[in-house]
Amino acid sequence: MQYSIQRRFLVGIGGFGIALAALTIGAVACTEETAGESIEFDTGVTGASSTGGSVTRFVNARDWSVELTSAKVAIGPAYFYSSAPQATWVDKLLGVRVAHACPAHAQYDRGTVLGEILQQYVIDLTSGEVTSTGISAGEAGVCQMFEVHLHPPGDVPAGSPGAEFSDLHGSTAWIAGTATKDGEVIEFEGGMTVPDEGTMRIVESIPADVNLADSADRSGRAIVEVYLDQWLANVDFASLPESSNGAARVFDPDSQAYSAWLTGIRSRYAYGLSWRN
Amino acid sequence: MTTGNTMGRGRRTWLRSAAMTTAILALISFAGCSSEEATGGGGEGSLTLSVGGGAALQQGFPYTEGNVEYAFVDGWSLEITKYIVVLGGVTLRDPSGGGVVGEWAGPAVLDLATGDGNSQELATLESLPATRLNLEFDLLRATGAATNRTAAEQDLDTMIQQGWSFLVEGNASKAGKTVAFRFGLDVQSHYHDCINGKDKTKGIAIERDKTIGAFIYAHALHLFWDTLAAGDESLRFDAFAAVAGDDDLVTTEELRQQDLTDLHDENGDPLRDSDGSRVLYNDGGMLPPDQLNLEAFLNYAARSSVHFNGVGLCGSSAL
Repeated sequence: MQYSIQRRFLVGIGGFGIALAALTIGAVACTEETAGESIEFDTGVTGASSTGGSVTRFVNARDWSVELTSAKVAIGPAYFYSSAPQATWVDKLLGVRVAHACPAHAQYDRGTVLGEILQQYVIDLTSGEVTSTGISAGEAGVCQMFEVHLHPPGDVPAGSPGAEFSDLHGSTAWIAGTATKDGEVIEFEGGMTVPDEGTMRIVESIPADVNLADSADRSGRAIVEVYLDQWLANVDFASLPESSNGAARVFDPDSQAYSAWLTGIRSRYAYGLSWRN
Repeated sequence: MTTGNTMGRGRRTWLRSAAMTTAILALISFAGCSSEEATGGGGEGSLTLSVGGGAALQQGFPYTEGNVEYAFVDGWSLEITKYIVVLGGVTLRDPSGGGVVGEWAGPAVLDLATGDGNSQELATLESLPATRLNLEFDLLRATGAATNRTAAEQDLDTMIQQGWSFLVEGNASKAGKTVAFRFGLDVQSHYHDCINGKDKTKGIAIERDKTIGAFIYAHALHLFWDTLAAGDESLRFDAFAAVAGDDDLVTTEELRQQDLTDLHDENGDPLRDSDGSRVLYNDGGMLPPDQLNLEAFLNYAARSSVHFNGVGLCGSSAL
C-alpha cells in the first residue's frame, strides 16, 4: 500500500517534471510571442544640448555663435518602439543598426509600441524645465527607437492649454535670438511649419536605449530631449533677408537658413530619449 | 514477487503516463510555434541566383513600367551606360536553427548595364535541403580577389583604387545640353532577413530535385530619387548637373560639394523647381549633420536600393 502510494506519487511527479520540461521548451521556443508586462509611466519633453553644453548658447557648424532667447515647439504624438532603428553611418561605430526603408516600396518594422505620447504639447525648450506630456500606458521593455511628430498646432488633439499655442504664431516651432560671426551680429526670429509631404512631419527611427518601466517600480520618467544645437547646426544666418528699420531678420522660406533649420528639425540627431527625474 | 510485478506495472504506467503527457504537451507547444518551423519534406534542390538593375538600365529614363511612367520632374532624359556592383557572401540558412546550408563566397564584379541590361547569373548553389531557407548576401568593396565577370578592367582597377562597391556612369540630356556622370560609392553592406518580393514571405523555398531561380535587384531607380523617406518621391537630376563643372562630367568629388541645405544650380544660385520654390532633398532625418551632401545622400540611397526577388526588402548593416 505504501509502495503503491509512493509509486503513484512518483508517477505524478515524474510526469509533471517531464511535462514541465516540455512546456519550458515550448515556452522558450515561443518567447517572441510572450507579451511584455503592462506598465504605466510618466513622460516629458525638454530642451537639451547634444554635447551636454549650454542649451541656449552654442557655436554651429557654420561658425555662428548662437544665443537663443526663445525656442518653443508643438510636439506630439510620439511613439516608443522596441525595434532597432534604421541604419546610418553611425552603425559602423555601433554595429547594430538595421535598414529596411525603401521609398515607394515599403516601410521597416518598428516592432512593438512600448509607450506613447498621444497628444500635442507646447514645449518651452529654453526654460530649463521638463514639460510633462502625460502618463503613457505600454509594455515594459527596452526602447531602441522612437519617433516624434511635428504637426502644426491644432492638427492633432491638444495636451497643453490652448493659450500656450499662441506662442507659436501658427507655426510648429518658433525661435528667436542672436547669431554672431566675425563681428557681425544678426538678430533673428521666425517660425517653422514642416511641409505636409509624405512622412516629413514624422521624425522617424531616432536611436534610443532606454529601459521603460512602471513609474511605481522605478523613479523617473521617459524624457524626450530636443537638441537645439542640432536644429540649427547648419544654419547660415547671413542668408536671412535683411529687415527694414532694424527689426529682427525673419526665417524666410526662400533662404538657406530656413532649409537648414527644416533639415535640422527633422534630423534624428536632434532628439534623444532618457529616463530621469 | 507481487511487489516486483506491481513495480513493473508501475514503471510501465509511469513511462506511459510521462510519454503521453510529454507528447501531448510537446505537440501543443510546437503547434503554437508552427510558423517558425521549416517546412521541408526531405530531398535536395538547387538555387540559381541572378542579379539585375531593372528597366532603368535597359531603357534609360523616361521609361514606362506597367501603367507608371518613370520620368525626371526636372525634364532630364538619362541613360546609364555602366552600373557595376561587387557581390558576394551569399549564404543560405536553415530558418529554424540558423545553420548554414549553402554558401557562395564570390565576390564577383558585374556591370549590370552591359549588353541589353538584362539580369546576369551570379551563382548556382546545389545540394540544398528542399525547404524554405533564409537568404543573406553582401555588397562588397572591390578588391583584387574579386572575379571580374562583365566589367571593364580599367573600371575595376578604379574601383579597387577608390574602394568603391558601386560605379555608375551615364549621360543625361535636357534642352540640347548633355551632361555625363561617373561616380563611385563605398557602401559595403551585409543584407539579411530578406523578404521575397514575389510572395512577401521571408526567404525562399527550395524545391526537391529542381533548380529554383531567384533575383537580387540592384534597383537603379533609387539613385535619382529626391527622398530617403517613404512617399512623394520624385526623380531629379538638376542637382547633379549643377556640379558638373566645365568638363560637363559629374564626379564623386563634385557630388560631395552639393550642399543639401543649400542646393545650387550651375550658376551658384539657389536650385529651384518649375514653380520657383527651392528644391529640397528629403534625407528622412537620416544623414548626420556633417554629411548633408549629395554624395552621402547617394550612398544611403544606393544601400537601400538592393532588394530580393523584385522589391522584397532585406535588413542591411554596414560592413
